[in-house]
Amino acid sequence: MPFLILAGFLVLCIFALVVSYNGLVRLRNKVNEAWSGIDVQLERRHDLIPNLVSTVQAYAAHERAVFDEVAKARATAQAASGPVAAGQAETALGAAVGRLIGVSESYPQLQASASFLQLQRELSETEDEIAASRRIYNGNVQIYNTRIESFPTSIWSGSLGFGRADLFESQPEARIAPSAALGAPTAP
Amino acid sequence: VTVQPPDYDALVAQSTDEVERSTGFRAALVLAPVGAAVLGGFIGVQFTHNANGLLGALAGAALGALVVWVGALIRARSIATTRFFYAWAAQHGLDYDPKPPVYRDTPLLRAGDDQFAHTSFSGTFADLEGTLYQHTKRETSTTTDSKGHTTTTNNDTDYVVLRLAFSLPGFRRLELAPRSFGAFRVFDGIESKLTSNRVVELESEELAKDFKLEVDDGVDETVLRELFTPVAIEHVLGSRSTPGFQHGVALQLEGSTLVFFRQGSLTPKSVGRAEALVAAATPFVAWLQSFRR
Repeated sequence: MPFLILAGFLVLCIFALVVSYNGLVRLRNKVNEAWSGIDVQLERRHDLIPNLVSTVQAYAAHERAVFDEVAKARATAQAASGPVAAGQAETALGAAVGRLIGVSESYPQLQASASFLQLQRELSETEDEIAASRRIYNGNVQIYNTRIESFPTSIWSGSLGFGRADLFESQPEARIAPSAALGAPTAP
Repeated sequence: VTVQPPDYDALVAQSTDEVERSTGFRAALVLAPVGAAVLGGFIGVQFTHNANGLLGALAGAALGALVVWVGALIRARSIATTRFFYAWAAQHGLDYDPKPPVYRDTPLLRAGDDQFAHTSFSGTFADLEGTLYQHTKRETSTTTDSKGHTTTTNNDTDYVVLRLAFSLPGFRRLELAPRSFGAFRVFDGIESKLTSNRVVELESEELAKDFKLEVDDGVDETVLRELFTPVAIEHVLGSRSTPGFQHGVALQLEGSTLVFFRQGSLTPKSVGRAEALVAAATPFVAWLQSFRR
């Protein structure tokens, strides 16, 4: 009888371990999936910036310092990998784009340009998507980190390769008002 | 602009007054106690030990008067409710129908052993033709005791439903509802394997934990992800604190019907629930419409 109880207890422990392990794998995949979502949006943002720069350049060619700063920040952001480095690089890029938009305010003809307004709108939508993706990613990271640090998972999560995930902390460009409206998803 | 709903209590007072002044009520108030007194007197003589006919007649008369009085109050409330809903519908440019047909075109509307529909308002909601009504799902259970007596019990659950004419290319079925409606995550995999639908988990763990998203097997995953952008996911999560919904947005799309729903009944006192549901559903309709474009 004691042997049966012990065997039952062991089976229960193994079952709990398998369920817990699978849960962690699922959560880690969710974190990676959410990061891919951010990556897609950041790429979209990086693709929009050269168009914005060339549009502003057509009206304010002498503002070379601002253009160089944006180009440099964009190159750094594209090269950055991982949430921490990407977060810092994107914040710097956001600030540079903010200065570029600031420059545009001195040129009324540029402000009235249809292509500039369209680019601004697209950039604003992308900022919204980045902000939403960031919150989703950070939400997943929080749940994942809490799980791996909670008892009893914390006993074995490290040895099975489940390390802490980093948060993505980036400030969006402040001068572009977020549209934040439901009803404008990307067209299929 | 907030429209002040009709004053239900005033309508009840008015209807009660009208019923009390009616000839039918006055005649019933005389005839029913007299008839009941005769019956009560007869019962008193026949079935009491000391053949107390007077006591029976008095009790019968009192009971007769009470029945007429309660009946009049019920009738007055019914008239007031009908008037209230006609007035409310007129305020909102809708058509009121107390007994609409029973729709069964989405899983919620087909659920249960029987279904009923009441208190319907038809018209335009969020730029779409539709109906706002109370749907009742009935589940019947039968038990037999040791003596062989069978008892049938009906369990009714009421929903306030906003049913709209809407289809989404690429989607034969789309369901999104808070898990508090009884959908446990642990059964998602089994359900996906056993039915022609699949439960989908997007990138948000919070969304998967609190909502169940289900589509038909033919839906392209890429299209689904284009519909559920991060901003859209955030709005779904944000709907958990929207008063119009109950724990979050609950919608079902099947074929050319889109329904939003929440538990509860539609009465003059709770009509604000219907208004809140329409207000809460409107941004989600706009979201689906913009995706269709």
